[in-house]
Amino acid sequence: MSARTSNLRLVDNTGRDFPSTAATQIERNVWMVEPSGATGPTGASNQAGSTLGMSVGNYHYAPWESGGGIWAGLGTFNPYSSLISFYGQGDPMPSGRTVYLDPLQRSQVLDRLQALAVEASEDESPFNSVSRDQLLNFLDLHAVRTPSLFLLSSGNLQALWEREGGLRFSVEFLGGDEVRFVALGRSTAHGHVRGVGLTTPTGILGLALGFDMRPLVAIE
Amino acid sequence: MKDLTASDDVLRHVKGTLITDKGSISGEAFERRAGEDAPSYDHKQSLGTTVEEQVAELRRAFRKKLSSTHRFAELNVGEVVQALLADRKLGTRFVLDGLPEEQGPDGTKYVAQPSHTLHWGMPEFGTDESRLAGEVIASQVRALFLAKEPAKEPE
Repeated sequence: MSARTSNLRLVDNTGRDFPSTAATQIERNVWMVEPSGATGPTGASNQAGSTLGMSVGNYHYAPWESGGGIWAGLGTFNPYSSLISFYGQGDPMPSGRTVYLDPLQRSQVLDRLQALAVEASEDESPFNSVSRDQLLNFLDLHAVRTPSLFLLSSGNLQALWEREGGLRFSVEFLGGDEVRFVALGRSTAHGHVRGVGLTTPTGILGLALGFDMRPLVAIE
Repeated sequence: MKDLTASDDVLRHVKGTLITDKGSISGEAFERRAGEDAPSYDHKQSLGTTVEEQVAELRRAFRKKLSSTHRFAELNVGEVVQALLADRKLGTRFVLDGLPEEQGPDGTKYVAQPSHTLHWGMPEFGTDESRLAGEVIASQVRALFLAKEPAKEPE
């Protein structure tokens, strides 16, 4: 497979092209870690199970042309996994869904995930790549503020939204269909609004609303 | 062994995986870990007179490897005990137990750590109560210090 990066097309969440300078910046930010001599899988699967035209181990990637259009692949390579996720025009996710995570947010998130993976490697701590994928999928599909990210001792990723005054809403990505939330809401004369339990990724924003913390989490 | 009082402060070591460079901390940093009787802290006032002395002494005595991403989180004993009691109806105590000079498992010589403190009464790790208690404590952090001394700039 030959590298065809010149054909890459990067789009924002409304489907518009990024200026070429921005695209260059995005590529440089996103393809971050290239350990000497490291190899990864050739070809990768997207969430719908289709094979993308990529050769990660050699750091080549080529747009995958199909009826859906041209793909732009964004990802990273670390000791724990080959690829984080992809998005672009022709995204095969269920129709009607929009990809919300903008390139700057994505770059910040990937930087943090990379740092967490490196730290886990140094500590010989677990890093659950399925949890990471679930987190990224959630961030892609929901209009949320960029959360603080942590790696828990279980190896799962946790996102936290907080505000002064002790308001905290955290979500642990368990890697399956469910996530675990902990909510420290407002304190009133009648007591403290608190919650902890399991929900689905699509239930997170509804829960934040229920705990009167939607503005903390969501971009309205 | 001595119970710390409401006016005492403690420092908790936090790994870089549980704190961001902007100072957001996961509640897990304050939970009782699996197989642990009580989370470890250090009594700040036992470490020295000034903040600089206190942090420097803790860096010297601390028994785990410190990295540039790690932080020491400062908490006030009275605020944490009161917050857990009011919020979770959880009665906890900070008990100064001190650690003697001793040999580590790999032959490393550990210096005495008279500031070592345990936070008794925290719920069992992995429970919902433990998660809530951890978040309540995280909301009480007063200050953060670099756990590892930053490299000096060349003159």
